[in-house]
Amino acid sequence: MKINMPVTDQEVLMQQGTILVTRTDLKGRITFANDAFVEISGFSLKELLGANHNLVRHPDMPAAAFADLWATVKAGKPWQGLVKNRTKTGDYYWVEANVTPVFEKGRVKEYLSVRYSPSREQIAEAETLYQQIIENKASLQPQGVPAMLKAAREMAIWKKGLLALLALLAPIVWLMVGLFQQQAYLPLAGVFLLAAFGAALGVHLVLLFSRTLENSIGIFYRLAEDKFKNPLHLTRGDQIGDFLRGLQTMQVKLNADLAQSKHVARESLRIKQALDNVNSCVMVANNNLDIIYMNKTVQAMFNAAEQDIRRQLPEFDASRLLGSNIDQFHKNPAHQRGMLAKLENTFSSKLLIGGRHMDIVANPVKDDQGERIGTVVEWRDRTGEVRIEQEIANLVDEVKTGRLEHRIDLSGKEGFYAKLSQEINALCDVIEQVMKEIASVMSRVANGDLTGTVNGDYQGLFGSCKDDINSSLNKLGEVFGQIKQASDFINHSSQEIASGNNNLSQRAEEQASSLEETASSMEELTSTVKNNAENAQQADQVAKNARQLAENGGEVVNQAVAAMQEINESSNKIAEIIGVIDEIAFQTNLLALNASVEAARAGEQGCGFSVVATEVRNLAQRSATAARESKELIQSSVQKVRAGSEYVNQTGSALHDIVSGVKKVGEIVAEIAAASAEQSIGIEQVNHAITQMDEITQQNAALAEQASAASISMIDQCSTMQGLLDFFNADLSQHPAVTDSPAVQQANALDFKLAKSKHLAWKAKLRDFLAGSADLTMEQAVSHRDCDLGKWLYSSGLAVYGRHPEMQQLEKLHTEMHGRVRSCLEHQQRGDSHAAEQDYQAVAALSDKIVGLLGDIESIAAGRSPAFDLEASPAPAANLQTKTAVESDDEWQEF
Amino acid sequence: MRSQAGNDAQFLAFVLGSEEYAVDILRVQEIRSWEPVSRIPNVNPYEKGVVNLRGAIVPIIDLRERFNLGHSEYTPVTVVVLHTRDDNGRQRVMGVVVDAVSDVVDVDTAAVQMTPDFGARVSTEYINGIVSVGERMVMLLDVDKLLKLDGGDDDQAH
Amino acid sequence: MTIDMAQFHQVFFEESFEGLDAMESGLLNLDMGDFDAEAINTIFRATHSIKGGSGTFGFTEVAEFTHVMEALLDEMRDGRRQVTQGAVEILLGSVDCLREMLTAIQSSQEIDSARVAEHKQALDRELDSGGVAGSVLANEPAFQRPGDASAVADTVVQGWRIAFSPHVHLLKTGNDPVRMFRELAELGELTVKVDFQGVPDFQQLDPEECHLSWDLQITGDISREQIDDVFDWVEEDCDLAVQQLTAQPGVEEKSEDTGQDRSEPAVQKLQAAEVASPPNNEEPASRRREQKPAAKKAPAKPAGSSSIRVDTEKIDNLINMVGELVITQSMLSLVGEQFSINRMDQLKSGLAQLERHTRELQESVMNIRMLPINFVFTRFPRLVHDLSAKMGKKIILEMTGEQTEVDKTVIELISDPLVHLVRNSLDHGIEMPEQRLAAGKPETGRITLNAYHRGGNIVIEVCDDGRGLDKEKLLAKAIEKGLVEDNIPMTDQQVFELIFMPGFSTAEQLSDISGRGVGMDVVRKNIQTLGGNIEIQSEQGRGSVFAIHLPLTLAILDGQSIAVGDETYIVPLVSIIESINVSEDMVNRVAGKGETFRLREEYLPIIRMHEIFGVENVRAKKLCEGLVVVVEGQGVRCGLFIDDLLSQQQVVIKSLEANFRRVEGVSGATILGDGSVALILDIPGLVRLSNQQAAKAQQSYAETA
Repeated sequence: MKINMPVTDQEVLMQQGTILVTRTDLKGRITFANDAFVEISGFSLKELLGANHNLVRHPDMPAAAFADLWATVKAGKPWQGLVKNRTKTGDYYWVEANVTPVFEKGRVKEYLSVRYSPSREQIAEAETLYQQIIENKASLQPQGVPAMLKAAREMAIWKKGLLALLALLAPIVWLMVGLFQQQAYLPLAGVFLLAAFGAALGVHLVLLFSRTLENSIGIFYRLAEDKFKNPLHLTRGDQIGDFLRGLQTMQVKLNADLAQSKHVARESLRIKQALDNVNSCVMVANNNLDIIYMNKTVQAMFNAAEQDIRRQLPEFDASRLLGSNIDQFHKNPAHQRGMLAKLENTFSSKLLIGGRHMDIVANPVKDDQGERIGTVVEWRDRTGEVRIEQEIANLVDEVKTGRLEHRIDLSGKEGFYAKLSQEINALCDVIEQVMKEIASVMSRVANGDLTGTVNGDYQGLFGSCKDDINSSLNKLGEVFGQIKQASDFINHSSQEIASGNNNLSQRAEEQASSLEETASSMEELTSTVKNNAENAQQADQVAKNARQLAENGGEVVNQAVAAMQEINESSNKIAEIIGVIDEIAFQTNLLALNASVEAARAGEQGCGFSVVATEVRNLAQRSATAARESKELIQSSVQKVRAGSEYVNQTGSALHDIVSGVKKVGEIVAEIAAASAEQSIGIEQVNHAITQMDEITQQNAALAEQASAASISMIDQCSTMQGLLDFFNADLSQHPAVTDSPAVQQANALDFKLAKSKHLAWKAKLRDFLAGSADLTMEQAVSHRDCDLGKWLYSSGLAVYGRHPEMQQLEKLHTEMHGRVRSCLEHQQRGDSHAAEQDYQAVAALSDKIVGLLGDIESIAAGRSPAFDLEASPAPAANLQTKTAVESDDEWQEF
Repeated sequence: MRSQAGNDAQFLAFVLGSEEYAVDILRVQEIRSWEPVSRIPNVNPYEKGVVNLRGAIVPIIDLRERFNLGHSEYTPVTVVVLHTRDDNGRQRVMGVVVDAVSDVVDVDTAAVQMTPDFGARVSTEYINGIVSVGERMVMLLDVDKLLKLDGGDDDQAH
Repeated sequence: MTIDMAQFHQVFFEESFEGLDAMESGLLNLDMGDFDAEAINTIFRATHSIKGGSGTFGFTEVAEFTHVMEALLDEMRDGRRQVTQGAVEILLGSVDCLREMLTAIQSSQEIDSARVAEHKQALDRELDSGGVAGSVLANEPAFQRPGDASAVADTVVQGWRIAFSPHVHLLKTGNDPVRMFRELAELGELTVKVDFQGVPDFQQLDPEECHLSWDLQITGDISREQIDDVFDWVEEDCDLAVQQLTAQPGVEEKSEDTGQDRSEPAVQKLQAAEVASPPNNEEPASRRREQKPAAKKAPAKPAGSSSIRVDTEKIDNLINMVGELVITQSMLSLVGEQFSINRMDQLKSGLAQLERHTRELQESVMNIRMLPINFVFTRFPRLVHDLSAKMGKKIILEMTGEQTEVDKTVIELISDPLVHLVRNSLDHGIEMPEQRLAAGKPETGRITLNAYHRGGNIVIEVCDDGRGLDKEKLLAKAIEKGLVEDNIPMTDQQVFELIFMPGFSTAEQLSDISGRGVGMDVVRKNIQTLGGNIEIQSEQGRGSVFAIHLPLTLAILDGQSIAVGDETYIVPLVSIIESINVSEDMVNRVAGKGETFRLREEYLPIIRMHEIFGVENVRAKKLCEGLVVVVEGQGVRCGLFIDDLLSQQQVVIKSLEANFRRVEGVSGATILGDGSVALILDIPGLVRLSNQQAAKAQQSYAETA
């Protein structure tokens, strides 16, 4: 038996009045479950369908109960009982279960279960019973006497009838016999009793039938009132039981079917309402193509299109579409019918009705058995879409060919199409405006007028195009201005060069003559020095010879020392050898002594040997003596050799001293010689240099003359060029906007006020930074060349006002100030707050000065550039100022 | 073989310090040069130790130390005279370290003079007599007494 | 007597002494009533070969003497004479006499003629008394010898009478009496008388057996040798009696004197140097003592120690091994001649082979030195026999393990101590028969000599079932002699040890057997000299066991070299129990000086080798720096503190006493591989030395305090 775990003590109560319906196949697998069942079981429908019904079995249920259930239903009888079920979460709920087999063609097809909510008393009773069954204290089927009683009570009706008959007949027969034979009272009473019993049984039967009938009639009425929960006595074994069971089966089946029907109806309603409210246009037709359903959207669509459709189909009435036939949309309804009738899959088509473009998507609708029961159609109105497509295509074609004046007509357009058309028109406006402005500016340039600018407010590529055109024109104007200035300069300079060159060639000639004199005196000096060098060389040679001789002497001495050393070594070796000889003599002596001993032992026979031994001993002693003497001699010779080598060593060292002395002399002489030689070479070089100088000077003189001539011709060239530029000059003067050279214009383009305030602001910023209330990075503390003032200074400021001492000072102080700012940042970052403080003080002082200087320069600039008496155009400057002000409002660090 | 009347006998003479001694040559087994000895514990200091003489263990005594003549360094030319001693029929060999072996001298036993109490540093008990060889005076040592030492082989009192 | 012969003398003497031993043991067997023809035969053969040998080498006196013995034995062998106690005694005496004679000859000394004569007379008397058929012959032998080479010139030889009775199987040996008679006939005139008496009935007659005997007389100038030559082949297979026939009657009376006189010239020849010393005729009782000084004069060469008889198998083995050695040597020299580094393996294997062979050779040579202890034991039956008779005790001597092999040196040196112990048991141990009976013991006492190997040792036990040692008496005596102090509790073993104290003898009466108060101390000393020890077990009334433990060989021992300072010493491996590192905390100092350390619940004294031997340049002064070798000697355990353990090696023991003297703590010396000498430590001696030094230190401490 399947035991589902876990379980909890939580009871889920069934709602009164609901019923749980399931269908199971013959194997107990769930094939249907109504919503109430799904809800209370806690499982999803998917989990339930196909699963065995014992999925919800509660372990508290005794196996016997289910065995009884299965035995009952398999016998084709309905079963009724209280069942404790388990939900998915382990909770339990009690139901009053009614299980009945469903027959189809006389065979059990499936089982139907309908469950009602039981009363608490029923539950309590069932709990006790099941508990007892589990503990084997009770059984579902009655046993023993109750069983017999039950069997008797529920005895088949024919048996009861037979019994009644017997009870009637037997006493009568017996009575007849008794009366006939004895005529006793007792048997008479027995006959009476039996007759009474037979009568009672008969009455009981009649009552039974009538009560059953009455009950059944009541039940049928109740069933008619949809009251299906009628208690029936199902356990009776007789035909009445069978009858009641049949009734029960019917009751359960009806109830289940009703529940299922309700279920289906609810589902359909749900879908219909959903369809009503979808945004697509949906229409359903039956097999006769009568429109049986239209959702709200399709109704609205047709309402809107009614006028148009009527133009083509005058009969069309949008309000009466429902129920009418779909044929009315078609000129050739037969074709449409044939096609829709054969429809198996999704079908799409387009439809043009009264100038309305419609897309149609049709799908067949089939019932459970797959039989065609209708068609569902989706509509889409594309009329507006198609028109706007056309108009846009026309406009784009115009624009492509450069005709920018065309626009889309906005009338009659609304929603998306109106918006789209407006935007496309705006696009064309912009393009037209840009192209027109550029064309007019460029035509002025062609006429030499560089003053035109594109002024429209454009973004993106238009903006950059505009900027590029404007800056190109500016640059061109600037270049021409500068060329003019330069040619003025060149003209003036060429004249100065010409006069300078004349002067130069005169002086060069003078120089050349004095150089010639110098050269001749150097010649004399050279010969003297050469003489000196030769003499020194000779002295060096002599010194070298002397040294060589001394070195040879030293070598000889060394050899002598080495020889002495060898003699010494040899002597030592000789001494060693003598030692060995001495040793041998000693051993020989010992041997001889031993021989003497042996000889003495041998007595007379040893006599001769003794003499020999004595001789040997004498020899040994003599050799020992000789060895000793040799040793002494060698030792004395070693001594003498040592003394000799000492002398030689001394000689050697003396010679060594001589050698080193001579070497020193030689070195000095050699140095003198070398110095003389170098001197001579140096003088020669000087000589040579003078000669070269002479030549060069002469060449210089010639070149100066040439240059003079060239500068004169350059003046001519310059004049010519100025004549050429005058063409532009005339033009330039006509445009006050570009009267100043671009450099001057730029130089004056500085907003002195802003620059002042920015440089003053440095003080505050640095103070905040040092106090820790603001942050500053190295990037912000830009170099003195990269701030706006710096840019101005090094691009045009210095070039234009560089002559003024104020300007020079400004440049210096500005550089210093930026350096100080940076060092202040560095110091602070390194934690050297003292140095940072010092830097701050310096920056404060410098910024004050800079502000002062800027004021000076401003006044100079205001008083016009003295070199070029040109007026600065106020308009572009103002323009630039405002722009700068706007852009750098928050970007103070640019200064 | 004690020489008695007017017989020549040979003696081995050796030098010990400034004095010259001689022993009966027949009591000399061998003369060897010095080689290191293995010390024997708890014996008299002049008993220098034992050496391996062709498989026999032979004790070596220093005669200088024995006669209290001071100690001299042992060099490869230090000489060891191996003496034999008859000890109850057993030949015992013992080495004696001397400064140098000078000679084998022939001595007329008649010329041997009895030991006068001449105050030599050596106790006269070891000296059998004195003999002149040329200019030199040689003391003849009694080998047995010399080698018997302090009780020889038996229990020795330390 | 040629010079060439002299080289065989040694062999002759050895064989003769062996023969004498055999005779002696045989006679003792007879004495035990164990009459056995084979036993007599053995004795007879030994006698005979001595006779032959001495004849060959010209030791006439010996030859003559043995002849008489032979005659007596011959009769016994033939059953013509009863083997009596008396005869055996006489023969034993003769064996002694013969031994003395041979010893004398061997050491070129004068033979004690008087003693010889005395024994000869005894023999002759015996021959005469119990003689059956040979009584006539018995008188003759004295005259036979003079017939030999040296004596022949002085005697007129008429001819010879030969009684020749071959054994029944003579013919089967291939000897033909007729041929022999023909040979004899060629020497001179021969008369042959046949004796048919032995011929059995015809039916029992075996034609291949000889039942005849002959009486031959040959006349002419014929030497005895000539006759002997004829009978040379049948000597063993017949009964032969050769008698000299002299022309003059009455010579017989002078026979004793001539025998004696004749010996003198021979002696003179042998001992030319000792002209002056006359033969001693006096007092037989004093002879033994007189011989001792005589022996002292001999050039120190104890008889019988210079050579041993070796089984030829051992020799063959030795030769094989030497052969192997030679092969190895030639291989090595080949390698040496053409040596290159890649032949190193060859060289190494060759050297290994050489080492193996050398070791085997050493073992074999050592093995040669091994002799059965029987060489010592053989003398005891006689000793016991003699002494028990003298003391009137009944004693059985049992010997077991006679074949146990012992080093030759041990054999030589253990003999005297054993004799002493056996005598001791005889004298003090075994009671008089009546005393034994009274004590409920069998009348006959039992002395058992037992030898066996145990471990690396040989154990020789002398057991008796006598009265055992009387502890009280021993103790009383020791106290009386002031050897021990009174009232000091002593264990049994300590009491027994008292008998080894010098000057201790418990015998109430001095006998010439034991009890002179010198003895047991000497016994122990001798045994210790051999590197052994002696133990006593005794139970009063039940007997005593003296067990001597000796090393198997004295020449070689397994030693462990140890380093103490610059010096190397050898510790016998058997004494070493273990070597350990001792840390200071294991050490207890007792009364300032003595150190002990604890080793497994036992406290052992530490002997600092460098202190006890006065070694300088010691590396390890603290205990933890060196090693402690735990050694055991004579039941005493101690730890020797040394610098280091060196190698283990077999060392050849050299005596330090040979040329020097005993040194306490040192049992000997050995020569190490580099030729230097290392001393072998004597553990008990070291312990004594240590105790002495400790005592001295204590004393000086006491004095200064």
